[in-house]
Amino acid sequence: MINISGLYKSFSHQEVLKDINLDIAQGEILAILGESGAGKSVLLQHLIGLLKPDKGMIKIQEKDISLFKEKDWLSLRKKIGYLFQDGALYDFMTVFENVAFPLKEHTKLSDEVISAKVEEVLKTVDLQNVEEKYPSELSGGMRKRAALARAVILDSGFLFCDEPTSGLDPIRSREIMDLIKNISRKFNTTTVITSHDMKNSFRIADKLAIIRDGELVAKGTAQELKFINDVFVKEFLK
Amino acid sequence: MNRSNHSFSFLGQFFRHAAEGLAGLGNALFFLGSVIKNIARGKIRFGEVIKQINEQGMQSVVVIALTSLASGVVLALQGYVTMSRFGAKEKVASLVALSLVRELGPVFSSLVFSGKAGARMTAELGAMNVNNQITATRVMGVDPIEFLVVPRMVACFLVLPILVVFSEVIGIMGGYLIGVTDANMPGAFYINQTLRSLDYVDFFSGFIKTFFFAILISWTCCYQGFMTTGGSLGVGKYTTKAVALAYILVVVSNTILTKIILTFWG
Ligand SMILES: Nc1ncnc2c1ncn2[C@@H]1O[C@H](COP(=O)(O)OP(=O)(O)O)[C@@H](O)[C@H]1O
Ligand SMILES: [Mg+2]
Repeated sequence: MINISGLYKSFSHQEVLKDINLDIAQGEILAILGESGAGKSVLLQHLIGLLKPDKGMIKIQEKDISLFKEKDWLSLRKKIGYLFQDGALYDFMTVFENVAFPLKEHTKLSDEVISAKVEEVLKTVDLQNVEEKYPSELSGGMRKRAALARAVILDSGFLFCDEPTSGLDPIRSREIMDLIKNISRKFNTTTVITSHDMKNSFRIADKLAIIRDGELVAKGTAQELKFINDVFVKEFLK
Repeated sequence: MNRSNHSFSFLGQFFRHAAEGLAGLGNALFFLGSVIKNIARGKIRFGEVIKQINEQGMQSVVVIALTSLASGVVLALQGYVTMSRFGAKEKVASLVALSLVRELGPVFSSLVFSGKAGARMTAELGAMNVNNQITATRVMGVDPIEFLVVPRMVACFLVLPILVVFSEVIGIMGGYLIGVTDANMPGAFYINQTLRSLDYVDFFSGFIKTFFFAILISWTCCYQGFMTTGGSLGVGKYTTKAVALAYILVVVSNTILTKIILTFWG
């Protein structure tokens, strides 16, 4: 459960987010859509405390995170999986070590249990026989899937993905978006995706939100959005 | 009119650079503060420290050995010529040992170390930063200072002094080679001269500086890595900057430390 109300954010003189109000229900997949530079990533970064709101409130599971200090964040972030645009896997670790990292850091599980869990998650993201490879030896799509495995291995409850399809061809884009949907359902996560990939977002998301120049111009299910009478939204959805 | 405008903008630029420099120093001190806080709380990953000691040591040991061997050889060659003029050629062993142990071993090894292991620290952390791996560490609920910086700095603090002692031994061996071949001294005499001329004060007055250099080098290089932006170009830029800064810090702090040490221990 995430509630955003009256969120404002500026960088020097540029207003990047203006009065964002958005509720995200437990277990829901929300896609935040918008053109490049609209403010999607900035919004997502507020949800993991990489940026602080100038004004407004963000609640995650009833806790007001705008008041959080870095120390509070370090513990809340164990409950959040975050998929970076380029994966951001450690390049000095193998795929196995990367995916096992959150478990090693935050649980006291034995090595056998960790191995079994990593293997299972890697199977879920359809990555096999690459445990001992380094990220630089993988293709872009494989890196994203490994990063996705790392993001959900703690069974975190929240999954945030920044532009999961960027840099991928249409087939890989479709695959990774389907995978995000399957994983979200399997791990029952509340999932937020930013994307400019209209087609796949409409296919997998329960709700969509459209941002233009830092303003939320439309939100709802795919059905609801089709009936919104706004020139920009109509143009955007074409 | 134009000229006053120029000088005005020059002054403006000067003050802006000065302000940026001060802010940068503040951030760098804050960075060091977080490192110290982690160490004080015992948050040291010993496995990572061992790995780093290995990497940093392995990386610089060959070049340090070469540098100090060459320094020892050159010191002995030059020393033999100059000491002969004063009719004190048997003092060559002392000259070599004292120069290496009091000054050249710590300083040369630290400079070489900055260029090898220091550059690597900045390049590694810088590349991780531009690929979001440092942000990813925070997002996974792990303090990147504790995970990435503390092991590098602790390892440097432990490994640089070892490298310095090693370099001093190698340098003295270089001097020995010249002493027994070029200068025709008996080997036992050369070694005896070396040991007799070295006081523990000589050794420690150089050795102590090593710990300061270790902190300055690893602090600068890790901090510049964390500051790196601008993709692979940025990694190159910040790495060069870090090494240049480390050189300057070693050389400048060495003069200050030498003055202080000589005042108390001359
Ligand atoms: N850390 C930052 N500092 C200054 N400006 C930023 C920062 N992050 C993003 N911006 C600006 O905010 C705007 C929105 O960026 P972003 O959220 O990344 O867009 P997108 O919707 O493509 O993800 C852009 O104009 C960008 O330049
Ligand atoms: Mg973006």
